[in-house]
Parts: sequence; structure tokens; C-alpha cells
Amino acid sequence: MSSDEIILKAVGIKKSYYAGGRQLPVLRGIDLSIKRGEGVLMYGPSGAGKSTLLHILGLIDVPTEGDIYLDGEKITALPAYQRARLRNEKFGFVFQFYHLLPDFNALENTMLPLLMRRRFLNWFVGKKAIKKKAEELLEIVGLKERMKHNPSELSGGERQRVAIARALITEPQVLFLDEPTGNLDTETADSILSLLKGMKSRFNQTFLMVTHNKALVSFGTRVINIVDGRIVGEGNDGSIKG
Amino acid sequence: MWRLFVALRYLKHRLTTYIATAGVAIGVMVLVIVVSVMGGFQREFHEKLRGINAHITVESYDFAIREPEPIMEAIKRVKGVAAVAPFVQNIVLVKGIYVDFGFIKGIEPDMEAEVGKLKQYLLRPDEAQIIADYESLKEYIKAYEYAIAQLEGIIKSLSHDSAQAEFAKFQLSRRRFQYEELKKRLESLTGPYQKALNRKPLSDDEVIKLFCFREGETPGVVVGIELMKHYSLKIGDEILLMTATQMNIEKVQQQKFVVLGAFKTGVFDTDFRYLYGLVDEVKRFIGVDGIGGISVRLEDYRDAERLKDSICEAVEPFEQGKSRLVVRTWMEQNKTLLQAVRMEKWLLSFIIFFIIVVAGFGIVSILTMMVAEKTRDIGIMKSLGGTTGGVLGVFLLAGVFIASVGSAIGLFLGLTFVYKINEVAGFIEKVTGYHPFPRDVYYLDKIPTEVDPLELAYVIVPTLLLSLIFALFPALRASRLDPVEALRYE
Repeated sequence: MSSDEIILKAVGIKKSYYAGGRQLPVLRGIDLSIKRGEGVLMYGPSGAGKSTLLHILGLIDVPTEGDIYLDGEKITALPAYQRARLRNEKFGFVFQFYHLLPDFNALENTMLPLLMRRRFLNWFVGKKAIKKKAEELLEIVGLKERMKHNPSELSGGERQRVAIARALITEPQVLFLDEPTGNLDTETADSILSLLKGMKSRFNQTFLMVTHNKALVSFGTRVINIVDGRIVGEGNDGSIKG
Repeated sequence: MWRLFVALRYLKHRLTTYIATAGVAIGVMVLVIVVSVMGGFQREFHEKLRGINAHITVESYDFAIREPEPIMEAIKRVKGVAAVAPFVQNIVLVKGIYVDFGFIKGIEPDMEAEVGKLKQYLLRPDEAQIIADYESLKEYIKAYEYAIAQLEGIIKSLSHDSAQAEFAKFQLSRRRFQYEELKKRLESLTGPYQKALNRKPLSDDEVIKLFCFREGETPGVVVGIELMKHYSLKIGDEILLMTATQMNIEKVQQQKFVVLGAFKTGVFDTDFRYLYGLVDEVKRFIGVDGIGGISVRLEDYRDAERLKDSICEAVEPFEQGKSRLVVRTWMEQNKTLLQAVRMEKWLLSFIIFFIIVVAGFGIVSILTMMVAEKTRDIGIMKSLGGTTGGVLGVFLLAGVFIASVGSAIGLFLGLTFVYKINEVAGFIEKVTGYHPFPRDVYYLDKIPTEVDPLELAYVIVPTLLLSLIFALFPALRASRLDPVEALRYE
């Protein structure tokens, strides 16, 4: 694959926190390139820095050192509002704890990322289209009958399905999944994974998934093993080198 | 717009929202009522001040206006002047059963009636008598009630069969009898009294008749109703007036005047201290040749400040040597009073505005709670692309929404109350028997109100601004939350 197909690139990412008066390194220099249509799986033990890396790549967090490039453009030093816009337009997120807004029903939660783009004057313009799109997505994830339910009325698996629909509604260039099945029982986790697999083949979605569950390594097209803030191994087709 | 969408959802079905909104609403309601009622009182008060005073006066402090006609003509030529009238005024001692100071004002009744509202305040002789009798009687009855209560207390403290107790009981029964008699008389006077209060203003003929028609040679005065009551005067009684002028302070003049009639403006001081006579008779009494000044009525009293200079110019050619003509507007004449009323209104509004400040703290607390409660939501919104400004907007809008809805409800309730205030007062009287607005205290038939859109804006705009400022603190806190921290928040 040629380099122009690289969608997201991280160069020399370091991240450290101050704790107890001393610097605590979490990421110690990560270089990573993700190509379009690729499914990258970050695997490693808890506390290895996987989630931090995901947050940094997804522009939720900022690195202490290093740069991130999206479609070849450096996006690390962008002002906050532009980072926010990129998060909204280019990225989608699915978190371990679903992170749905409890005051809004499944449909509204799904619509929210697109609604956030709308300005005051054109609030009602295209709102129907957004609703239709959200309904379609919720139908795809199997929640046609539960659209009007609030998160508190949904099971864990259902909540995660809403979160997936919400992440996909913006047609993101990269989908970030942070332990999407970490909080679910095996059976539900399996159904979520098969849903994600379906999504991936359906939308040819580029994604980056974080997990510490070894059973999931077969899910990605590429597996990256992170230990102690460093990439210690990388492999294709479910195998881990290093 | 999504900010409002989220903000409204956060506010929905929360008890604290309703409480905070109610707080703002109550504050705004009370302020609207106070501002409107105070405005009404101010208007009535101004009207009364203008009623007895001319819009503008041109005065000569040494009674040097010997030929008023050309000056009056010159003033009348000023555009915006409606009418003029000559007057002469001086301080007097009034001697009846007591001695008090007052002001005698000599007027030309027909011309004065055009300048001020005297015609409206004048009473026909029989009406004056009824009002004086009725109001005096009411005071007597109060005194009797007090005396009876005192006697009842004394009797309780004495032993039953003592001679003192017997005497006190006799006194009590006598007082009670007299009290009942007085009450009967008061009742019989109630109808005529109401009729006298709601009288038709005097006609021009009646005004002239009141001042000019009398028997004998004694000059006459029209007195205020309060003086009439206090001195137990009847129409036709004589009072002795004494005066001296600045130019001739050693020579005290005195003259008996016959009471021709009375007036009632509703301003106690005016109704007690002012006496009106004919300009020629008053001039003779004071011992001066010229008149003291000219009263001017304008087509619109609000032009007083503006027209003052034109009138100054018009009367300037008539100033001779040392005797100057001083032009003053009605506001200048009553400067301290007007300032006091304005100050009172401002101060009361200022104090009541603190209710809104308290309501503002309500908004702060509900938003602070909301920010704490929604910390994770804030992280979620940020991860979905919400900017710092966006999150700020959500919580600002929540605060402004509470303030806006509270203001709207408060405005509606306040205005409804203001429009129905007299019905409310009537209802309170019906239920409790206590009249919250006794007309004989305020001299007004109804609680006066004035709804001024500008003053309402003075209530609403600061309320909204204040709530915006108050909402800013929790909103800023929310917007500055680190999304990573916020997402981790449980």
C-alpha cells in the first residue's frame, strides 16, 4: 500500500502525567500509521497506555510530545475548536461505558453528533434527514423497537449498540473503540462484535480498537501489542509478533 | 441550537428548575408591582403638586409688579403658554382657637382657575361643611374608642363594689351612649360625604360667586379643609390673620377675614397652610401696591424646563433696577419633595432588586449542581465534537432560560396584579375587614398605578443580565473541564 493511503499517522507520541510531584510517563514514544479501511487492534495489559493513545489519536487528549497527522496534515497543534470540529466530522467514538447522555432517548443520542453541526438558523433544515439516518442506523444495530427508550431503560448491550450507531452516524473516517465489550457478558459481547464486524464490511470502516482481551485479536486486520507505553509487537491476521 | 436543545432537556422535570424559576418570577413580580404602584403614587403626587402650583411662576420678591398686564401679555406670547394669572402671596399667622403659620395667596379667581386646578379642589360651602364634619367625627369616634377601652381596663382593675368602680361604670355607660350617638351621626353623614367627595367641579360662575359674594365689609378667605377641621371652623366664621413684609418688618398688619369656603387637594400641608383671597384685598392687607408674581400654565407641563428660558427672555424688559423677576418651574419649586419621592422609589426598587439577586444565587446553585451532575455528559459532548464555547453555551442558556421564563411569568403575574390591584384590595377588605388602602389616609379613591414600559425594561434587562453573569461562573467551570477527566468521572 502506498503512503498516500495512510489516513492517520502518529509520530513519536509521548505522554506523561504529573503525579505526586514527579513525572509519570504513560506513552514513551509511539509511531503508528493507520491505512484507510484498516482495522487496527491495540492489545495489551491494563495500564499499558492503550486508552491514552486512543484518546490522543482521537484528539480528546493532547500528547506531551510528538505529532499526529490526518490525511497528511498535522493536527496536533490545532486550536481547541478546530480539534472539536475534527472530532465531530472525522472521528467516531465507542467507549467501554457507552457514554450515552442519560437525559436523551436512543434516537436523540444517535442524532446528537449531527445536530451539533447545525447552527441556530438552520436547526430545522435537514433535521428530518438526520432523524431518518439515525432511525436507519438504529434499525441496522437492531434497536428499531427501542428508539424512544432512554439509556436507563436499555440493557448494556443495547446501550452499546446505540453508542455504535451514534459513532457511525457522522460517517467517520476513523472509528475509535475503547474496550467496547469490556463491560458486557460474553454472549452480549459476541453479538456486539459480530455487529461491529458487519459494520466494518458494510461501510469498509477504518477503525482502531483497544482491548486487553486476547480473544479479540482475531478481530482486527492488524494487531499492535502495547506494553508499558511502547509498541512491543505488531502483526497481521491475528498473530502477535514480539 | 443544540445547546438549547440540551439545556432545555437538562432543565426538564427538575424540581430545582421550578424553584429557581419561581424565585426569579417572584422577584420580578414584586418589582413590577412596586415600580408600578410607586409610579402611580409619583404621578398622583406630581399632579397634586402641579395642581396647586402653576407650571411656571414669575415672581418679584418685593411685590414690585405694579402693572402686571403687559408682563402677562408678553408671557402669553411665548409659544406653549396656555394661561397666566396674577397673584400675591405672603406668610401669615392664622389665629382661631389655635395659632399657626400659613400662606395667604391673593388671586383673581377666574384667571387662577385657568392656571391651576383650584376649580377642581374647591368645595361648595355645604360640601365643605359635610366633609369637615364627617372627618372630624371620625377622629372623635377613634378618641372615644380609646377612652372606652381605657375605662374598661380601669374597671377590671378595681374591686367590684367600690365607689370608684361604680363611678367608672357610670362613666363607661355614658361614653358608650355618646359613642353610639356619634356613630349614628357618622352613618347618617356617610352618604352625603361620599357625594361631596365625588362632587362635580365648580363652574366658573360658582368660583366667582364663592370668592366675591358676601355680606358686610370684612374681606374673605377660602381655607384648606384641614385648617377648617383643626380650627373647628364653620363657613361664615371669622379668623384673624397677621402678616408683615420684608420691606416693612416692624409694621405687623392684622385683619379679620371671614371664611367663605374651603378646598381639599389631598396634600395635607396645602390643605392646612394655604388660604386664598382676592388679590386686591390681600394686597391691601399686606400693605403693598404691586403684586408678587404671575402664575403660568403651559400646554404641556413637561415643557416647563424647555420654556423657562423663553419666559425669562420675555419678562426681562420688565425688570426695573434692583427688583428682579425670578422664573421658576414647578419642579424647581418642589425640588426637595420631588427628589425625596424619586429617591424613595429608587431606594425601594434597589432593595427589592435583592430578591432578584437572591434568585440569581438560586440559578448559580442549580447550575453548579447541574455541572457536577453532568460532568460525564460534558466529557461525552466534548468527545462528540462539542467545543468549549458549545458547553459554555449549554449552561449559560440553561441559566438564561430560567431567568427568561421566570421574568416572563413574573411580568405577567405582576402586571395582572397591578391591573387588578383595587379588586385585590377590595377582596382583602371583604375577607379581613381591614382596608389595605384607606382612602382617607391617601386621599385617593383607588390605589394608583402606572405601567411604564421603560421602567419595566429597567426591571427585566438587569434581571436577565444579572442571571447571565451568575450563570457564567458554573458555565465557565463546565466548559473548562478536561474531556478525558470528565469521561472518567463516575
